[in-house]
Amino acid sequence: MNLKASTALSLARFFANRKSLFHLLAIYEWWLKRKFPEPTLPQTSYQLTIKTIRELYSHSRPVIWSSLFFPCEFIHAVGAIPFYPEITIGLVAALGFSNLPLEFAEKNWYSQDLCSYHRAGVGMSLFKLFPRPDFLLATTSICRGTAGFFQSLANIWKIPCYLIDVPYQMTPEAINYVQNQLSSITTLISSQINCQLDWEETFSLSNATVKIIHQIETLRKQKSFAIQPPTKNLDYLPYYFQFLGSPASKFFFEKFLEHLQKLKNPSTNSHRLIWLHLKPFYPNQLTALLNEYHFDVVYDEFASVFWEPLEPEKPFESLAKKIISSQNLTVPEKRILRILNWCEQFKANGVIQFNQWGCRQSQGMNFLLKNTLQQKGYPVLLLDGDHIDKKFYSEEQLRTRIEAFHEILEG
Amino acid sequence: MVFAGLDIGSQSTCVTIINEKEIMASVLMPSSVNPKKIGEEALNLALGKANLSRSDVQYFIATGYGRYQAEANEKISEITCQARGVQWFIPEARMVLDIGGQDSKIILLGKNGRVIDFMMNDKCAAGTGRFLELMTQVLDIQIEDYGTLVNQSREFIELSNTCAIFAESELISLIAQGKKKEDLARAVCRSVVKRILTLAGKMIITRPLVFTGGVAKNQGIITILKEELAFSPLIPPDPLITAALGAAYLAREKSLPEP
Repeated sequence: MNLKASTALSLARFFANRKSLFHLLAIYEWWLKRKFPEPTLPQTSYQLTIKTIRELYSHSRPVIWSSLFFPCEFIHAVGAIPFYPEITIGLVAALGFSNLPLEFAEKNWYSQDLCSYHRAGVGMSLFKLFPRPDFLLATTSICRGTAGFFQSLANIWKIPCYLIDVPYQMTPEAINYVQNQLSSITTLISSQINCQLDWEETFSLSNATVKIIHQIETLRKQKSFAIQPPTKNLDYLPYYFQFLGSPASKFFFEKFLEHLQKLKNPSTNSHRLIWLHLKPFYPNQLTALLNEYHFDVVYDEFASVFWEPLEPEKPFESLAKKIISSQNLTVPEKRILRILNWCEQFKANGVIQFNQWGCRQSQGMNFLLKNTLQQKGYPVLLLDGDHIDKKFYSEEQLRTRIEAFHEILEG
Repeated sequence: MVFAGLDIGSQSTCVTIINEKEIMASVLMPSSVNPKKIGEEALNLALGKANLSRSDVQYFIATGYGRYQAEANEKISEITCQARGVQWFIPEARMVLDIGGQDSKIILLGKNGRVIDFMMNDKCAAGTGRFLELMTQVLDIQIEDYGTLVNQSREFIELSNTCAIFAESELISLIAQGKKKEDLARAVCRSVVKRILTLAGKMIITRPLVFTGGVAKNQGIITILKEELAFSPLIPPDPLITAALGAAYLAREKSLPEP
C-alpha cells in the first residue's frame, strides 16, 4: 500500500472509530433541510444517506448487519439500524474505493475466485471501516456464499452470526421451519437489547411502500416511459432492501413516483430491456453505451417485489414466507417463468444479464435461461464481468457485445 | 458505384472494395499502434489497386476493434460484418467460427446472414491466434510449420493448461522431458480447437459451419478441427478478408435501394 492510501486509510479509521464526531452530521442535515425545503430526488437520496451514515456510525441504536435477502422489516421492527454490507459495497465501488478492501481481503487468504461483494465486505471489515455490528443475521437463500461470508464477518467482529436455513419450496413445513428460526433469533436479540417489537407500523410502512413500487412499475410498462439513465434504478437498491419498512423508504418512493410522473415522454430509446442480476458499480461506460445504442431498462430483477403483503397479526409466518419467496430468484423454472412474465408485461425486446464473477445463483442456469427465452423470441445477452472488481472490466469488450446485441435487435 | 469496408483488427488491417457485383480490390496489412493511420494507408492502397479515388466511394463502413478511430460513414461491430462477409462467399452458412489474433467468436446465423446469437472469447489469449504465435517461439518453429508437424505426430499429448502463460511453461517442461516437436505442435493446436469448441458448444453446432480468421489458414488447426467436429468446416477463399468484405457488403446494402 502506498503512503497516500495508507494515510487516507488511517484518517478514515480515525473518524470511523469516533462515534461522537458523527453526531455533528446532524447540523449538516439541519442545514440541508433548510437549504432544500423541496428537495429533488437526488437531494432526497443524499439527505437520507447522510442521516443513515450518522445513525450507523454514531451507533445511536443497535446496528444489525444482514444479508441481502434477510427481510429488513424484522430489523426495523426490533428498533435497530439495518446495515447491508453487500449493498454498501456497491457504494464503495461507486466511490472508486473498492480496490483497497479487495486487495486487503486477498492478502488475508480470501481468494480472487470468491464473489467480490463478499471479498470487499471482508476487506472493509478487516480495515474496520464499516460501522461496528451488534448482530449478524443472514439467510441461506439465493447465494450459498453468503453463509461463509457472514461466518467470516462473525470471526472478524467477534460476534455470533445467526443464520436462517431456507428451504427451496414454499410448503407449510418450510414456513414453520423458517418462522421457528426467526422466533428463536428474536428471543436471542430481545435478551440482549431492550426492544419493543413494532410489527404493525413496520409492516404497514412496508406494504404501503410496495404499493408505490407497483405504481412505478405500472408507469414503466408504458412505452413512452423510462427511468433515465438506464440501470439507474439499481442505484436505489437500499430503498428496496435496507430501508423497506421505514419512513425513509416510503418517503423516497413517493418522491420517485412524483419525479417520474412529472417527466413527460422521457424515453427516446427504441429497445426495451429486462435487466437481470446487478451491474458494475465502479465508474464505467455501461450506462453511456446503453444510451448510445438506444436501450432502456424497463424492469430490473433485483428490484422486483417477490413476496405477498405482510400481515402484522402473523409476523413470523409473514416474514418466513417472504424469505422463502426469495428462492424464486434461484430455482430455475420459477426464475425463468418470472422473467418471461416480465418480458410480456413490460413489452421487452430483449434481456441482458451482467454475470458476476463467481456467482452460482445467476450463472448456474445460463444455458436454460438463454435457450428458454430465445425460444420465446427474446434475445439474451450475457455479459461477463464483475460488479465490484474493476480488474475484469474492459470498455471495448463491453462495447462490441452491446453493439452486436443492438444489431441483432435491429435485425 | 463503389463501396468500401475496413476491418482494423489486433493483428491485421484489411480493406475490401466492392461494386454492385464483385470484389474489386482487397488489401491486407499488419496492424500498428496507430489504427487511424494504418486504416487510411490500407484504404488508399486498395483504392490505388482498383484505380479509384476516395471520391468514388459511395459508402464506407469500418469494423474491428479500431473502428472508432477510422473516418468512415458508419461503424458496425465485427460480429455483424463477419456474418455478412461469410454470407457473400457461402450464402447457406449457418454458423461462423472465427479465430482472430486477439479473440475468437462463434456466430449463429439465420437467413440472409442475419446474426441470431454470438459468443466471444476475448478475456484471455488462449484459443486465439496470439496463443499459436506465442507457442511457435517456444517450439522454435514458423507458424506455417504447424500443418506438417501435426500430420507427423504419433504420440498423444494433452496440454493441461490452456492459459497462454501457463501453457508456455508446461510446453517448456515437456521439451525438457524430451517430447517430440511434432507431438507438442499437435498438442498446441488441439488446445486451441478444444477451447473454441467449448465456446461453440454453448450453442448447438450447426452446419454448414464456416471457419474464418487468420487461424483458418493454419493447416494444423484445420486438421484437428476436422477430427474433433467429425466433418469438414467450410473455409472461404480468403478467410482473412471476410469482416472487411462484410462491412463493404453492408455499405452497399445501406446505399442501394432495397429491391
